[in-house]
Amino acid sequence: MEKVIGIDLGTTNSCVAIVENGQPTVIPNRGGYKTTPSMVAVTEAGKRLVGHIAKRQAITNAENTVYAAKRLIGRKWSSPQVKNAIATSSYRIVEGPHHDCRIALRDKEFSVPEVSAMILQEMRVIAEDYLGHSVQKAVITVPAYFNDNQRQATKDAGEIAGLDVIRIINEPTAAALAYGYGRNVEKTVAVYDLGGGTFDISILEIAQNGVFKVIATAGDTFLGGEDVDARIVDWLVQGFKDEHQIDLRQDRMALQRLKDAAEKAKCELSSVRETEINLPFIISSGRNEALHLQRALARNVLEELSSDLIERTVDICKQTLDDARLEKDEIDEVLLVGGMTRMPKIQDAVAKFFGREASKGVHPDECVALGAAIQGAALVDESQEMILLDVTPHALGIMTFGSYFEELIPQNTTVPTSRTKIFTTSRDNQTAVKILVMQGESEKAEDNEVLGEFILTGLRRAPKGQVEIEVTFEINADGIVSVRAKDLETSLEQSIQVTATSGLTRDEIKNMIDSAKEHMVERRVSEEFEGLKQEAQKLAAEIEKLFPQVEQIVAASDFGREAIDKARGIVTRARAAIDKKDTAALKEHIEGLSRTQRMFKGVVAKGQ
Amino acid sequence: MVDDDEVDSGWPADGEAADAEKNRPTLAPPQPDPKRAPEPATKPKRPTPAVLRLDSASQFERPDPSAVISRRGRESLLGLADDAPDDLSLDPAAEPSEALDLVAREAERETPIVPLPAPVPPPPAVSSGRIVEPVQEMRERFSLGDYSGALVVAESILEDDPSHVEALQCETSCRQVLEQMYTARIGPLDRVPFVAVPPEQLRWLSLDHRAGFVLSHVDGNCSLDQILDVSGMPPLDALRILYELLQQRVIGFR
Repeated sequence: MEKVIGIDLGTTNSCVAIVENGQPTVIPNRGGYKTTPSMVAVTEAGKRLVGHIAKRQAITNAENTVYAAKRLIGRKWSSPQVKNAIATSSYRIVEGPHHDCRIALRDKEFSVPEVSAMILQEMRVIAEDYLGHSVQKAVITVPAYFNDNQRQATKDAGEIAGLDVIRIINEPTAAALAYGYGRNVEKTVAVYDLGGGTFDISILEIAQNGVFKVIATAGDTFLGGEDVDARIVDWLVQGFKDEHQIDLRQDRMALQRLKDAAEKAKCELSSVRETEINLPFIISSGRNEALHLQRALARNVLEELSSDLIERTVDICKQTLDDARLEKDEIDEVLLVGGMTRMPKIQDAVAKFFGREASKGVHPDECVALGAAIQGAALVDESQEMILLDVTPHALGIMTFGSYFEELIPQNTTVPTSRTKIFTTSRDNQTAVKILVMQGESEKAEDNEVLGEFILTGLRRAPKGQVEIEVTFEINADGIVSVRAKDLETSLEQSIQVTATSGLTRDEIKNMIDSAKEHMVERRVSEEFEGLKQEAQKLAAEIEKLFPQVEQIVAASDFGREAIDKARGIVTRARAAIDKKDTAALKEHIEGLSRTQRMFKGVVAKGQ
Repeated sequence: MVDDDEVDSGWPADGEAADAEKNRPTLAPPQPDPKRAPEPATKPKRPTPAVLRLDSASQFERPDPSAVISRRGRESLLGLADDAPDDLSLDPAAEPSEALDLVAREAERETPIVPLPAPVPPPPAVSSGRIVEPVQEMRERFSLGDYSGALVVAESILEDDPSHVEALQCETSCRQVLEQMYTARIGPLDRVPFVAVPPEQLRWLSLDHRAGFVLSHVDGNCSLDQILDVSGMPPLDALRILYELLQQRVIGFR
């Protein structure tokens, strides 16, 4: 059965998981970490860096390092979120050809799905290295509030990365799925998700028939662990300034080290009460004397530094429960998701607010990817019952007189579905109506996302309210929305098919797929060569080490001298193949090197 | 009247630099741009090492070149004034003498790892102690194989005129040659270095904050190549620092 990977494509970190022998498992990356920073960078030499290595140079190469691309995915250039990102990001965001946004890295502009594809490709490589074979199918998670365009853009990113995205699921749903896996639960669950850069709170209803319904979701896309790190950095910078009258913020290298150290200290303080931050040679003073930073940070100081941030998450929880018209005691379980929830103070705050201890049944960093993997396995295994039903993430409707939003298909409706409503004209002698198809939950049309529009003409001239128009919304199994407006008197009809768009054309996506494939091939070839090179160098070094002993043993015979000359030739040719980067030749020479090494070892063993 | 296309600045263009280095003996000395106004008689902003003229006697009296990067080499390369005495270096043999590239040239005679600098052409008539024009000084240093010095002069020219074609070409060439030299001395860049000094002793070393930054990336997992990538510094600067850390035995390889 084909393996399906589950990918938690996070704002700050991403994670990949699979189901192996019925057991969902997170796959560690090459460094042994189970999460990989969602960061992409291009170095001065034009080299592409993804993950931890990109993070380690994020401040010193800030203009060319993309982080939190998820905040931009599927968004229009004119959206307030993009404007906000332009104001706060160190990398350059420019307008794309289809009112989308693009990211400028060195001398090239990348679409946001392309950047996300680089992260997804990295996750795919992690899975392929682990499994030992190629992987195509994937389930990717997105925040519950993502609209169709954002979901489509995420799907496009998967396609660019060479993945067949068989399903996009909501992050809180995935977390709840991981929690409910193997148990028969029917509960109302709150998912408190505090990651590196975003905070989300979602209330879900888990029903026994496999429906995970998101009742309410809210959050803050600019609140997360990075804000806590920033507080620690501020504290360190101020302390250093007080002592040496030097502002470490003025030096990017110092700032990069401070940020790395702050994150490390924050993580350590989840398990110990005090930690030491030690950064030797952090900066040189005016007298060219290198200065060191050494400070102890106690857990209670960190809690004080971040107390308002924690309070903000609690306020959002309060608001979300009010919106869902739920009381705290109606929540059966609280799930903690995201690395920040390891902080004891956060666990206390959540427990205090909900009046119950959070469940220890899910792993904060891994549960979203695990849930995606569980869903992926269920989708390809016909013997398993369908775990999740596809639901509309947002309500769909049209704009009515007074700029109000009239909902036709409510949020969380299981698809396929179809709904009809009858409307009337709003002005006397109105001969045409404009149908503005929208998605969202706000009563005010302007707060919702416009998906498309069309005009129905040829209406009979009549006083307002007399001409009736029937509007039908239909969503098929593939999630494609069709909207039809029909003049009930004349049976004149107009319709539109709304397909979500990521801001990229098919041709653009195709080109990006080709480019990503090319990059992948280059990467694999380079990795293969590096592996062979290391093996050859190791064997050559061993052979060279044995030369004196072998020479001593066999030098007396002509045969022995000939064998030694041959061995020298093999080592020389292997080194030449390394210099020429000739993978094929190197493969051949490795066989020769291996034989020689075995033979030399045998000679030495016999000679002793 | 000279046509623009016919003007040969004498410096290899981007991408041709490496090839040009191989052909150093035929590299013509840079010609002044006839359209360019005469260079102002100002000294470079940063202090530069004196032009060194090598004679055979002084060459063979120098200490083992592979063990040394001189203070002057360091300062000239990066313009970092470092008042700390050199004897804090862990290598007692590491006595400052020459800029790396000049010393390196000697080493290459026996084991040619990097392209040989050009044979020394007859130096232009510059009397000692006279202030030379920056462009002329840059050319002289380059032709003498003093790439560190030539780089510093080129950079100082570029500070005043960032589009100075000849200085840009010289800067690129110098960086390429110096990068090759340092790479040859450090060895394969896929090796993973580790910190060879106990953490409690680190602060007693004589390092600057840039070296401290590079050292902070040495974690026993990252290869030299990766450290160069994440350092965010020009590769030459990072290579130089790694080489010095290696020389001082602050880092090592298993």
